[in-house]
Amino acid sequence: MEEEPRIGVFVCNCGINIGGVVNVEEVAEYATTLPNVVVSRSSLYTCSDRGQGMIKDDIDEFKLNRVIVASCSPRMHEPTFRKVIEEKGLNKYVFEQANLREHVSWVHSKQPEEATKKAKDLVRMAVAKARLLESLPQHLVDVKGEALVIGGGISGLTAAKSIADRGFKVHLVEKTPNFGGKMAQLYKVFPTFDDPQELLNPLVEDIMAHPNITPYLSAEIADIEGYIGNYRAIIREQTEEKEIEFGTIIVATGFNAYDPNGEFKYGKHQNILTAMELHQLMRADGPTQGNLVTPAEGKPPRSIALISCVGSRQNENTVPEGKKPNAYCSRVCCTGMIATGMEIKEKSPDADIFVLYRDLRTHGKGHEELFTEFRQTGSTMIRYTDDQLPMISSTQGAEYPLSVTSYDSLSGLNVEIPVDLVVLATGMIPDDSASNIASKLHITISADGFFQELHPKLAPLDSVTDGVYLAGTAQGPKDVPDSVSQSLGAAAKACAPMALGQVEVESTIAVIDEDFCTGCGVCQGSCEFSAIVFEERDEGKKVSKVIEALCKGCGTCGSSCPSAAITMLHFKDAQLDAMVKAALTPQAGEK
Amino acid sequence: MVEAKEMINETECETKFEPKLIGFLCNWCSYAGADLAGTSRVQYPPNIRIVRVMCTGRLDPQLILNTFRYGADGVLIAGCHEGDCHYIGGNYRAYRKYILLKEFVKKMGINEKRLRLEWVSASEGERFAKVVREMVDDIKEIGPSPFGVTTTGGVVEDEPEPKI
Repeated sequence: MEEEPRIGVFVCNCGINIGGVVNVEEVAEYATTLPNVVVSRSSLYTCSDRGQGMIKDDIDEFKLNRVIVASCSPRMHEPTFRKVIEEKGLNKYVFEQANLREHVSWVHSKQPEEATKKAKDLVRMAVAKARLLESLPQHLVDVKGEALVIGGGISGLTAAKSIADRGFKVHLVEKTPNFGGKMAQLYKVFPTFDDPQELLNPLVEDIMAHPNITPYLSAEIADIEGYIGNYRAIIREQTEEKEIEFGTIIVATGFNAYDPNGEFKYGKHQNILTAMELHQLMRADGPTQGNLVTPAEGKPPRSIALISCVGSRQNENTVPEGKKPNAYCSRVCCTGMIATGMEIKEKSPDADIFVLYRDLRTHGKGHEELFTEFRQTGSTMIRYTDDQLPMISSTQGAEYPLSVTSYDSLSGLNVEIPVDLVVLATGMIPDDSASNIASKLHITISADGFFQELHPKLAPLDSVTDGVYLAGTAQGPKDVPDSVSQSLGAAAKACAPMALGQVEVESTIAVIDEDFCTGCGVCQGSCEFSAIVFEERDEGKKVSKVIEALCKGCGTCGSSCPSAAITMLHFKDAQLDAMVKAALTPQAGEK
Repeated sequence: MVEAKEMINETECETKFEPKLIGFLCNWCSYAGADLAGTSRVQYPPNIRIVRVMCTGRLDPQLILNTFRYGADGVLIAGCHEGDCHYIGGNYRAYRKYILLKEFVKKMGINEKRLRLEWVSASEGERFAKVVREMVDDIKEIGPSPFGVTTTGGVVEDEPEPKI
């Protein structure tokens, strides 16, 4: 790589996303004044066919050996542009991206002059780095054709069957003694009122009989390590431990129902239930063989209040002190509450139902129709506001054991409703295992506590770790149809690398210069992945060596080496130093 | 009147100090957090230039010191929250170096407020913006870095530096 750098800079307008704030033409023109830049252009959408074609043509025409795209975040389109230059025979590591959208135009949208200046700075920094970029060898790793599915609810079962049906082995691990998850605990599932057992039983039977699936019940993952294609885990099933190897992982750890303790007098009176508890009560295998009676009196309820948004869409003022508010919508409770109302009507047709809601979000397929049907039952809808939550009190000795008072913003009146039963439509929270699984797999959790997808729009099934995919409510609240769709998608994602048998992994690893290594071993202590070992050289000299397949490329060893013997490829000291210098001393970065 | 007004403007221009900040952000949490600030259109002052690294653990103290030497008025190191590091514990190792660097920076005659380490997750776009706003305000109060104004007008001559 001794050849003189020939850099092409492509500045993107991203429609008006960048061009509406940053003077893109000016930035492109400025780039031509920077060292080793032989061509600089702007385009409307650099990621479009036309934009990509422009890069390819210029690689030919100007014999480019470095390419810079100044556009969106590299977390979004770096893979796209790397592919473009690879098609022209360049190594993908001679590409550098400057982030003019997420880090400039979108955050300084009222300061076009400063934004343009910053854009020029970022391009200058990218050029400074690009001049020092090197081609890196391609690293391929084998992918074992087996998958681990964590969680045996509807999502895990669906994903496991889908992968197994394609001919790959699946290890399906469930922490409880039964498959079926939370869905198996429901009375019926909306909007079609199926008995969940009727849907789950055939699926579980298929799973148990499937030649490609090894089920593990009452099991947990004691230990897990590895990387895409080559994972190893110890599964602890009751007292037995088994070591397994696999290539990809699906995380389907599901949800828990929100615990409304301390809210709406929950726990203070037997007749105040969560939606999940009501489902239990209505089931044929429930405590009353499916007869809907109030827990305190054992009599059919005459009047029932359903309260929505319990544990969802909260703020500091709507949760008791010390509880963290859940800002998100749980997406299933509104329709769930309506469906529950209809199920109650079926069991106790004379019961009066009062629905206390904040907003009614029946957004799924067939949900709004269900709501229309529910309204025919003559039930009363009361819209409460988040600054005046409904109050529940025990009446003691009155005809009805409970009383609900609420402000109704539709009529503008305060209402008082005597009821036998209060049902809280509780939202979803992540399963208890989520944070443990997250740290074991090095995947991230979003602000709401659910697993974070790699990109909300473009990579909703990927986690940040290659080979680990997300399915079902582990990623965020959703209903059964959405969970199944996502699980089928995640299964397909997991099958892709297994079908190929080999994938390319990042070549950005640490390398050790043996001549400078003094064998102190500090780097080994700093490596979280045990990727550095001692090797003996002549005369018993010990030197550290990086096991390439284990190195994740964090670079921590490099910054710890007292002899500066370790180079972190693609993020070398000199490359980062040049960027900083170019940012702070413009003259140093210009021609 | 006109003259007087212009004069005031000129003085204002002269005294208006815009700090130059460099932010070293880890790819998995804080860089993604800064991206989210963008996606959410959260506005913050345009004083920071961001350098992406895979992990804050990668940050060599020498690089941070060089950044001050090149005239940065402030340096932000931002990585994953405790326990969230994509590489298990790179952030903890960054934190160790940061504690030492703070001492070192003080000895170099640099106000320690110019060096700041923050944990910013991928879902904390608003918080990232807040950190930048705070840092810009803090440094505006302290004034320009003593290394920012050199005899060569901010340019540091190339010279091979022995590694610390």
